[in-house]
Amino acid sequence: MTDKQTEKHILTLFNNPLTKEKGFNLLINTYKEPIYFQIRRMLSNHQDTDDVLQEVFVKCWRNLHQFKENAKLATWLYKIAYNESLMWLRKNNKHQNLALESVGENKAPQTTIFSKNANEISMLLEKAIRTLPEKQKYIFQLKYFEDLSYKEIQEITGGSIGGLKASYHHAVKKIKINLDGH
Amino acid sequence: MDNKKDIFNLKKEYENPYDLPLNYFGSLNDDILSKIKQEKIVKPTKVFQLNFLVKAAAAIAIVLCGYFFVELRYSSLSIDYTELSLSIDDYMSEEDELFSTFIDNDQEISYNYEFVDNNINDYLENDIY
Repeated sequence: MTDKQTEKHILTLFNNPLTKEKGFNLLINTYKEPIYFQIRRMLSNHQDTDDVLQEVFVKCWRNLHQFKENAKLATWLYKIAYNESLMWLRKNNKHQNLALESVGENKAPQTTIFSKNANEISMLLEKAIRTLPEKQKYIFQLKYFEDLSYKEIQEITGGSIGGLKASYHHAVKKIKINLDGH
Repeated sequence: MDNKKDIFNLKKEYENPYDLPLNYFGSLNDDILSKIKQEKIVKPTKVFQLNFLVKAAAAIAIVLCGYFFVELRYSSLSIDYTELSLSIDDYMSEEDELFSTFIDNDQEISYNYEFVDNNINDYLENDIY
C-alpha cells in the first residue's frame, strides 16, 4: 500500500464512528516511530519526548475530522509535532535555566540518551545534529531522515524554499565539520 | 575515516542509537487511548443548546426591557393638545377674573374709603355733637 493509499484508508476508518478507534490505531502505528525520533532529537530526554508525543496524538484525535484531504497527513502530523516540541522547549527553557542557577554550576543534568549497544557512527551523527539550532535541526532531520521535499518542509516549518535550502546546506556543513573533529 | 565526512553515506549505516524503555512502542497505543478517555471523563459535557438558549433569552429580555422603558417614558409625556388648550383657557379666564376683581376691588376700595370716610365724619358729627 502506498503512502497515499494508507492515508486515505486511515481517514476513511477514522471518519466512520464504528471504526474510529481502529483508524486511529492504524495512524499511530504508521507514524509513531518517525515522529518519536523527530521529537527526541529536539528534546533529548525520553520522558519529555513521551509526554509531547502523546500530546501530539491526542491533538490529532481531537482535530483529524477537520483535516483537509488535499494536504498530506504526514505533513500535518509533523507540523503538530514541530509546534508541540517548540512550545515545550519554550515553556521548559526558563525552568531549566533556573535549575542551573540554583545549583550554581553551568552544567546540563546527566541523563542517559544513547543505548549501550549504539552504533558509534550513529551516535556521532546524532551528537553533531544536537549542536544545531532548533529550527535548523528540524529542517535537517525532515530532509535527511524523512526525505521530504522542500515544499513539504515549508508547510511544516514555514519560511521560503530558498531559506530552507540554505538552512539545510548550512546544517550539512556544520555536521561535516563536527564529524571531522572526531 | 573518510566515510564520516560524507554524511549521505552515513545514512546507510545509521541505526537508532537512542535508549528506549523495553516494549515502549508496543504499549504506546493503549497509553494514548487511555489518556483520551481520561480527558473525556474529566471534561464536563458542554450543553451547547442550553448556553444558546440562555444567551437568546438574555438578548430578548434586554430588548423587551428597553422597549418598555422607552414606551413608559414617552407615554407619560403624551400631551392631549385639546385638553391643554382648554386648561390654558381656564387658566387665563381665572387670571382675567382675578385681574378684573383686583381692578374692581380697587374701585370698590376707593369707593369704600370715601364711603367710610363720610360715614366716620357723620358718625363723629352725630356722636360727638
